[in-house]
Amino acid sequence: MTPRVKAKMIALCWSSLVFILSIFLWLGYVPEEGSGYQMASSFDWIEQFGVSFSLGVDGISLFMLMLTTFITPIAILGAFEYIKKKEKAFYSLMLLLEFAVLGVFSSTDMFLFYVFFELTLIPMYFIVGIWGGDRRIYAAVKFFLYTSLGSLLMLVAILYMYTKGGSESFAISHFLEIPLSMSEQLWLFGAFGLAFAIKIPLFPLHTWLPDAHVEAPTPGSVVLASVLLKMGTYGFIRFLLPFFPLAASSSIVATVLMGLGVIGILFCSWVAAVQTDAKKLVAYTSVAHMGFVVLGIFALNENGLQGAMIIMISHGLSTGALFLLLGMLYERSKTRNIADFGGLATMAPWLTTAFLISAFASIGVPGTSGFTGEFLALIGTFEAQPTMAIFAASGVVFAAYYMLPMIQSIFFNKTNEKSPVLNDLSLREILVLFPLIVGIMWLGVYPKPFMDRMAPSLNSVIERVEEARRIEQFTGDFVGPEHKVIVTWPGTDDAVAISATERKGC
Amino acid sequence: MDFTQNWHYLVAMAPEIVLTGFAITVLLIGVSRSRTGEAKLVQKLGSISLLGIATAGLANYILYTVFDSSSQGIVAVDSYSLFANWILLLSLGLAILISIPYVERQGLQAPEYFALLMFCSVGLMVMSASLDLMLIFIGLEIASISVYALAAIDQRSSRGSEAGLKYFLLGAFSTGIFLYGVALIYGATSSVNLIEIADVIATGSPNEGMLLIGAIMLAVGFCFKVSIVPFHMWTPDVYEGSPLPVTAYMSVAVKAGVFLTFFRVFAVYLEGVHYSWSNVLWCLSVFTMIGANLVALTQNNVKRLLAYSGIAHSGYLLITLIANNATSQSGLLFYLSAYVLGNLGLFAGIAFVSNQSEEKLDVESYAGLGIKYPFVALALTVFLFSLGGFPGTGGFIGKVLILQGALQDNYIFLCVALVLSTLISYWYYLRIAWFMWMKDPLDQSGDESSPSGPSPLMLRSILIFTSVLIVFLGIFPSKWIEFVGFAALIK
Repeated sequence: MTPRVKAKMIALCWSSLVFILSIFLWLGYVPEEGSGYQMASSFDWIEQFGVSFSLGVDGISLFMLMLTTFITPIAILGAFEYIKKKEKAFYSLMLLLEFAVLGVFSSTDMFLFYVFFELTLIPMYFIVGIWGGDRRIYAAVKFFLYTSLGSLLMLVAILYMYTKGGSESFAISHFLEIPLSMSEQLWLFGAFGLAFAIKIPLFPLHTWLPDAHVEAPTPGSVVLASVLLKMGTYGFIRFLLPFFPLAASSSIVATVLMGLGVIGILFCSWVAAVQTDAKKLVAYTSVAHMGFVVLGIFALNENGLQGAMIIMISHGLSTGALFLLLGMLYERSKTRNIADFGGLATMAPWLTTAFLISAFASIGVPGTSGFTGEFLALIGTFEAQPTMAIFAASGVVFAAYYMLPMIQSIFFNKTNEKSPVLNDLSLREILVLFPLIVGIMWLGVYPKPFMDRMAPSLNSVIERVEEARRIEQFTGDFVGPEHKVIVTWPGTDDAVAISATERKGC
Repeated sequence: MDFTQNWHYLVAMAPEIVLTGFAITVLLIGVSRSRTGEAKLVQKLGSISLLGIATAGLANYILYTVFDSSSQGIVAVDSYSLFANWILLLSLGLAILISIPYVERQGLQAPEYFALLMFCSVGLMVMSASLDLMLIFIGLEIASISVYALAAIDQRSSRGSEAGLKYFLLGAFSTGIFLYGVALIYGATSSVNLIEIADVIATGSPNEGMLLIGAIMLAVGFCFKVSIVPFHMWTPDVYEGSPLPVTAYMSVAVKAGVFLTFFRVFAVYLEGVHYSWSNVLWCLSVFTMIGANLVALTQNNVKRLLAYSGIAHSGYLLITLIANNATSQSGLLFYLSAYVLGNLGLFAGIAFVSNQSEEKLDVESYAGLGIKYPFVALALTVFLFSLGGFPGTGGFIGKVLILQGALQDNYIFLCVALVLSTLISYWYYLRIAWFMWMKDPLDQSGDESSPSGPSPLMLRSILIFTSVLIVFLGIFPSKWIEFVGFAALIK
């Protein structure tokens, strides 16, 4: 074996091994045990700061971990023909990226989380910058600076909370008990929210995404879309809501964020509809899908959050598959321009079938994963804010509006003089796509095992927000800076403590 | 050791004395041999200097057994000054290692060169250990005058002479302000001893107005040396004009020595009038962080770029003085350690690329370095990320400590300014990184200009040493945080 083949094989085997190990995670996770972390482990890291290397899994991170370990070997297998230079560096960066992302999803210590969160930038920066398209450096630097802006402010927010909590520990469980006034919560919510909103990306902050997606090599786009974007929405559910329940439950914040989600859905659908570059089109659909996720999260009810989680998984599968398929088309024809293709359905029926299923999942056709998620998210939104739901639902129609013409043009139109003659999928490509399509169908037809596992953890998030809302109403008409509210994590302590400076008592 | 007898001072200043002895030896050997250039002479003198550093380090290590933080002399032998000695000796040692191939290739006057480097370090060590404003002044002058001469040591280079002269003129001006500040403080408190000054501030009634003006002038003097905006004007020109290893040495050792003294004087002994100078420094810090980083964006010469990056780092370090608590002090010491390693490593890389000359200093020269010399480029990337304060490197932990210290005293705006200016700095640090990894080399042949001979080996070992240490500091910082906590003046 030449070193290049060796590098490929090591990367593939290693990441597959990680996936096999993560199946044990899935089997070992017991949803009946409630909302806490399971399989937790912890080692001291920086004693002086109270930083520990502590990892754990709950109903939220379980799915993100599974998604990461599932997508990475697929992306690596999909890269075999696409990456032609510096293979060794490429595959080591892919594995480093997987390491960092798994760290983000499993760390239960804020310092550790931040380190991993930032660490994901470095491999992605180089993957886009070295193996990307013509404007790769522009895209890579834009991606890096944009996401750093948010995360650096989040670092200040994390350290502020740490100082506020007595400079003892960075553990998430410790952070949950830090008393914060309403104004503090709003500021910190802003800092955390900005970091995650850029990562998601939420509507006005999304401009880095089309560049990064279009310039990135196929495996880079796949990991970026399927996994890295989820770090933002994961951060919303894991940190933003439980840490700052008062801010999250205030109606203005929820309305603004849901509004941005809806604008994102509609705006990006329209933008996607006029794209001539197929990859750019799919990139914009990512923003639209993430709009649904944000909508579901800030509906702040069980349906909404479950829908959001399902969309996150579904988007990971379907968009990953679409990027892989576009990469396969590009390898064959060296073009991504929609108008250059035509009549592929007769030449490459398998490729067409795979593309159709993935695109249907992206649109949200019943029977695919996209439908389950968007349906739940829309129900949740309707329960919370019906107007939003009406606008957002039209986004599903728009999804058909931008996706179907592309399919029509690439696969079913008559061949023109430019359209290349293509081979159908090779065995390797079938191996790449098959698991994704199975996932899409499974989630579309029988999502219960997923929902059972995520429900307890999501419910505890909702309970915490509800509790905060209740206390806010109970303590009446004020949310002054002196007013401190401690909301305990449901299930750990019955008492809901309201700390000293309750103005009514004074 | 209580400094009741004069010989106690000989013990207290053992590292400085040892280093001075070796510096004089180097000078004498140089005088007794033929003047310039011979490779053997350079290597011999370099080895003697390194031996001197090792001996001084040993003396410093032995001092831990006798040190006495409650000393009443004008020289402090506390863990803080011993820590300062470690930092200064480390930067001197690395600077000499970078210098040997450079001096050899450029044919500089080796004896004077090495002796001046060591004298400068002696001055800085004296300064950071002294508890007396006059002694601080003497140390500052020993260091400064050596650096003026070093900047202009290459007689063939007109830019070097310009740099030396410019540095000298502006430096003399700032020294004047510094001395005037000392005089005013003496007038206000009738003492130049820092401990007595602190006592007068705490208990007695100093002449407030005079004291404050004096303190501000003192601060201006220090700010000039560590190039805080708006006293930074000399920095880019001097850095650009000086020989490469001298620039490397200046950018770390002078900054570290002066900052450690600055901290001792202001955050510890003038702490009683913190309210008066902290606002001034607050403004200077914000200007420095944002201004320097913005200007650095447009630089194309790596020496100038690192000059502005160094100015920005001074702005970050100034925060530790403003929030003078135990955490921010650890931040200062930790950050300086990471900064010294990162910056010297980077300069070793620059010397490698420019092949020990003053050519190929523009960012474009780094194009394709990752293809030609992947390990050099990898090390340089580590240094750049550390200077940018990226997780996994020592620079990140330093920055976290600085931020924590500032947040403990509620300087939230400073923290936000720090992270936003860090964001700006990512651009120019990444710029070098993308030239190294994402562009193709300018000249495909390029073999005749590529580094050769034994020198790259030395540079390579510096690169490996510093990059490994930086990553180690970033991933396992506990021990070092403990150590800098032990060295703290403020417990």
